[in-house]
Amino acid sequence: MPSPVIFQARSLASAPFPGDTQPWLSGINFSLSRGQVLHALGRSGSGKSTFLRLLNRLQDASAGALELAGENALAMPPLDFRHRVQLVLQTPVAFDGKLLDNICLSPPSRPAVDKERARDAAGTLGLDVDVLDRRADTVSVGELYRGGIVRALLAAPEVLLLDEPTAALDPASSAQVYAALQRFLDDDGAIVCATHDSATASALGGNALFIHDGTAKNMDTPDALIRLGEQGN
Amino acid sequence: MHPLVDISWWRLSACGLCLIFAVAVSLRMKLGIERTLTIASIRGPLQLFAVGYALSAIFAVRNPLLVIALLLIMLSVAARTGAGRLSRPLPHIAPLLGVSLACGTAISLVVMTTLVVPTEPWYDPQYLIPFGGMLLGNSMNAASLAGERFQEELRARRLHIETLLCVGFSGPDSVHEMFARSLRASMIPTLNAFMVAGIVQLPGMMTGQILAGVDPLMAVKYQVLIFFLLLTSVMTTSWMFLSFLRSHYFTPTHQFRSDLL
Repeated sequence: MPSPVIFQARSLASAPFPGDTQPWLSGINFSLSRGQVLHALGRSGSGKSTFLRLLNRLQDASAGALELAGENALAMPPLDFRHRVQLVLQTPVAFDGKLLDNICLSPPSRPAVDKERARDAAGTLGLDVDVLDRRADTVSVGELYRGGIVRALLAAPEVLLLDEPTAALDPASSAQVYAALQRFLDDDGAIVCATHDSATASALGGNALFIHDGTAKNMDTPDALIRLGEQGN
Repeated sequence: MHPLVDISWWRLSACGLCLIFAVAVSLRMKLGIERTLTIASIRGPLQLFAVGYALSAIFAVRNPLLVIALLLIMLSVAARTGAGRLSRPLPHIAPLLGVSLACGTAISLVVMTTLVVPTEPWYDPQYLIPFGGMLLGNSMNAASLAGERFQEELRARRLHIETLLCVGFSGPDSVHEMFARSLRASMIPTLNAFMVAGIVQLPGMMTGQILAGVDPLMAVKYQVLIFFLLLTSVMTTSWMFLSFLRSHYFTPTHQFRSDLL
């Protein structure tokens, strides 16, 4: 029996940027079930990050529909929605304090994150005690990014949006991230992942959208779309 | 107490010689502010003399509408000037600064006229106008500092803000630290003046009263009053102005308007 659809878009279009008249992205269609991954592929500057911002409602939609667990996601209270659909941006930032404090950041309206639970979760992504207790502005970009993934996972979202999740990671760290993401999928989570890295697409499997010329084309396996991109674009 | 020494016009004009030193430094250091220094040195005294004559007339007439009209003129000039100091101008920000200044100043003036110096009538221009002017001027400077600092912080920390928004922080929560730092910065001049009062410098109002022959203890009482009124006025104005400013940078759905920076 197929898993129920958790996240889907129909003819979704982004609102134009200030000063523009045309939407940056339009004609977005996808349907994502629990335990599934959707890859957003495309060249740099093609709109992959805008696509994720649209799905996180950091950017408004001008047309179309977006549903989360069968509800109109565009009408949900935005803060509740973003708690359920967490976005990890491509460029991680260091807030004041230790890396562990950064991982435990949560909105004041939410319960505080348990630090022991955070340490355990961070350990599975290769962030050991020494790293967690260092000031966040002294750790590497890769460690900071993994901290961001841990922070998002600790919020127990239904959908995780990832922007180039392994761009700053070495192969060993990437493998730890893939394993953590696989556990999230096994727990009925769903992932939308923007990447131009075929290794990420292959490691997590799933379907893919190819973002080009302001629209999302084809839904197919990531490998097929990467080949399409290499041939035609 | 000796009577105040009258300054003749020609002696007063002699203090204009000080301008020569400032202009010389500007030329030597290539600061490029000679023209501004000269204009300010002419404009400032002219404005003060104009205000002096206007105040003489208003004090003589003692009409509440005239007093309020003068305070409103001072308020609108302060709002326009303060808003103009922002490095990134925003639409409708001057009226919002005006509202902030009006609230901050009004609270202090109400406390003063009802609890501390219950003047008769309440609009006594001899008190309301100089106190109102001091409060407006200091609050305007504080609000400008706060606004400038807040915009700088937002510019430098765009990614920090978006990272927090991504995980469910509200717009105000995502900039809480920046808001607090800006508010703190705006209070520094007032707090510094309070901390060193009487040790490093005699505050302007107290100096003026002592020169005018007022008992120094009475001058101190008024200076203490103005310090407390300033704390309230400056804090309220900066806090309100920052709140208005913050609301410009977020949509109702808690998206960050970085395009306004």
